[in-house]
Amino acid sequence: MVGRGGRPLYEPDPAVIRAAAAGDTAAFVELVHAYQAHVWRFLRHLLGDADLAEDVTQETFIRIYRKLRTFRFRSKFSTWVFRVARNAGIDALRARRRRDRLPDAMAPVARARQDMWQASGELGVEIEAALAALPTKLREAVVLVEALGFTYREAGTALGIPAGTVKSRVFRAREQLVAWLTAGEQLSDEA
Amino acid sequence: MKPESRRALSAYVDDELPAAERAKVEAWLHASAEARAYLGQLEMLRGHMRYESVAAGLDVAPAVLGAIEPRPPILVARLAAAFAAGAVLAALVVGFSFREPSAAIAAAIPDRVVEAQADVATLTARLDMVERGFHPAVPERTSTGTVDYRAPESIRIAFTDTTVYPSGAWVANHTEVVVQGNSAWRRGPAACPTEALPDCTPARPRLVVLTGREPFSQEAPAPLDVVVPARAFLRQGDPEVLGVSRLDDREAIGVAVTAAQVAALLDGLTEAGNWRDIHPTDRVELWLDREALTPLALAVYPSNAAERRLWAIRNGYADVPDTAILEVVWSDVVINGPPSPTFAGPDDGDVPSAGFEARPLEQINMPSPSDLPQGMTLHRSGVVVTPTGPVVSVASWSDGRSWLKIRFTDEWAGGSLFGDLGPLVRRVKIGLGVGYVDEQGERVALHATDGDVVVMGSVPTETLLAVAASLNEAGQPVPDDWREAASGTTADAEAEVPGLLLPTGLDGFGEPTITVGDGVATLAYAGQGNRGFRLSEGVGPVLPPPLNADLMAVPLRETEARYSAERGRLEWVEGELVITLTSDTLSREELMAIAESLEKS
Repeated sequence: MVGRGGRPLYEPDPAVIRAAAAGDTAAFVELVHAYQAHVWRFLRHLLGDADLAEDVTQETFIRIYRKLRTFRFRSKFSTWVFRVARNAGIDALRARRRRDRLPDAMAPVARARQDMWQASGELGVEIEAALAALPTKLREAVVLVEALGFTYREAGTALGIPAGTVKSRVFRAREQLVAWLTAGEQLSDEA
Repeated sequence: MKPESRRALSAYVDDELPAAERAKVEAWLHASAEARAYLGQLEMLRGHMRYESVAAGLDVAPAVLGAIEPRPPILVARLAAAFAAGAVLAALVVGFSFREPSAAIAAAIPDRVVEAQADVATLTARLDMVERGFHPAVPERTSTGTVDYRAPESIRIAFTDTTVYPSGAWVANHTEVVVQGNSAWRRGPAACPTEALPDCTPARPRLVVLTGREPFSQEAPAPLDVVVPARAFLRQGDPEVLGVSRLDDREAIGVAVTAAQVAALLDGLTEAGNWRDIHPTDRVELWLDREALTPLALAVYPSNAAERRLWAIRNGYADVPDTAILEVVWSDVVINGPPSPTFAGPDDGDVPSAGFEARPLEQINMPSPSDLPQGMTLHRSGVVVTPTGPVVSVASWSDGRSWLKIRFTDEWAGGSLFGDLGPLVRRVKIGLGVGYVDEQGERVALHATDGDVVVMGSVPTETLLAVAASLNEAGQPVPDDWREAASGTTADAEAEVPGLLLPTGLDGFGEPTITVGDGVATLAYAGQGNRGFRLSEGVGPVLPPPLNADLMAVPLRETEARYSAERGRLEWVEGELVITLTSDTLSREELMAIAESLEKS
């Protein structure tokens, strides 16, 4: 049987969140340690750049610290964290896009394919290249669901979209990922 | 394999299928090698994405902690500096301190402000104000005054101008605003444009008196947000919380909002007299009593928005970033003390009446609500009779500062909804019929067979809808030739404009009011206080010719948009659509963030 699998994300005790919001540094560090690896993974997939992901992870937790007092306990803390991370990631993508506008929209795809073939050819590298070629909206949805094990509802809360839209985006992302990988296999066979 | 079959497998992998569908998919997997192959590809993807190593030694905590050294918010820091210097405002602030608020307090602020209305029966306070940038020759003005309030709608706000002016040509800005029962008056110097000061100000103050005032009149509204700023928080939205402090020997909690959000409070303080203008995007740091949620201090800072700088130049203001243009402190605050005696008013013998005549509720022609918010009791009722308008029955209820009013007439001439809802309305189901909600969500109208009714108040839209439903009036759709007949739903808008884009992730805005027609859909989103924006989309290949010269190009959604600061308008072409976002109260940055969030529904 195929299930969601994986380990569910940690949900902190509300007292820890309140303490962190009230300025308790130890409580805040506890939250950082609980989520930083997951946030970094999400951002690495979203941004396609491990170093930038680390910078944006820092930025995410700075934003979380400043916004903690507005957390209303109406959603899971984990989905709220990823909503902040997603916004920080999107801001970083926009900043990068403004910085280096490419001559044509296919350039990232071509570059990713080239990088893929220059790399070892391992499946993980192929998947990273395929992810990099996805539109951001599909990428963020599939990373939350695939990499972090969010339900559609949780991912919808984090992304600010309905669960049905998450379902649709995850499916579209998988279609493109599978198509990419299948094309890669065919190229490899031909070679 | 069909796309819908792959879609089902995708949801199956995510464990998001209902049991019955799940069983079908499993039977299909059993029978189909193609399905199993596709599932294998999905599982392979998952295996690589979910189970991967994280960068060794990743720990962002030290860098984050280094960047978040708490610092006091601007107003508190400024008051601290002023205290050290012995300045006017600081002398009123005793023993303030700054510390971080708890999340629980912060999260509940909007709800608590709205609820707190009911707990204030009386309030008196001293007011001290500093206004900066009024005129180059008078860079700073100071005033001292009082606010005196009796629930539900009797209030007096008066200021004495203590500024030392450069010459006798300047008229002191002494002001008074009073609302009391069926009378209201305001007194103060007439407003003048900056460039015409000081000569344009008449020496005699302007006095405006109104009698025959109906309860909670929109013609002469009581500035109740000066008591509890409920209108600023009627819609949900996360406030930026500044901290917890101590002002006037009271625990205070600070929030940062825009001037548009607290427009009712700022307008209430400056309703009479000649004051400088404030831009809707200006940042307001507002400090509220932690328990009673009454204001204790506010400071208005000029925003950095480009349109704001243009506005300042046009209005002759040389505002300095990070320097407050308005600071107000409430002190000696007494809540629910003995009520003040009646306010002494001007001679209103010759003043024409607005037409309200008090009558007992049972003697007026009006449907009666069976569901009123708990604690609300009848305030004033009667009829409004004017020479030209229909006879309107009015009844009002209140609980402390919170209020509710119903107006009814069976003489409405039509053409548009009764109740001044404005051109953009949202059609909603109410009981067995339909009703209409105005753009701000502050009025609900019913067009029924036996008359037209509008419900309004200082309570959330949901409460107004519940009261409207309890009237047992079956609201009818408005006739086709009424202005509101073009109002529609999101589905109507999508049918009119294929590929319609809608905002996602909005915080602090309600459901949109929508009009459709001629291939264009317009959606109006109202936010907290006066905040709001309009989104228009229509099929067309090019933007219309520009109407003004201040256009600038901005990168947006992988294309280029044009923005007019003067008109608060952002417009661009995307695919087959011409898209326009307009707002008088949001900055260009906020409009661009909304534009970036647009998605096909």
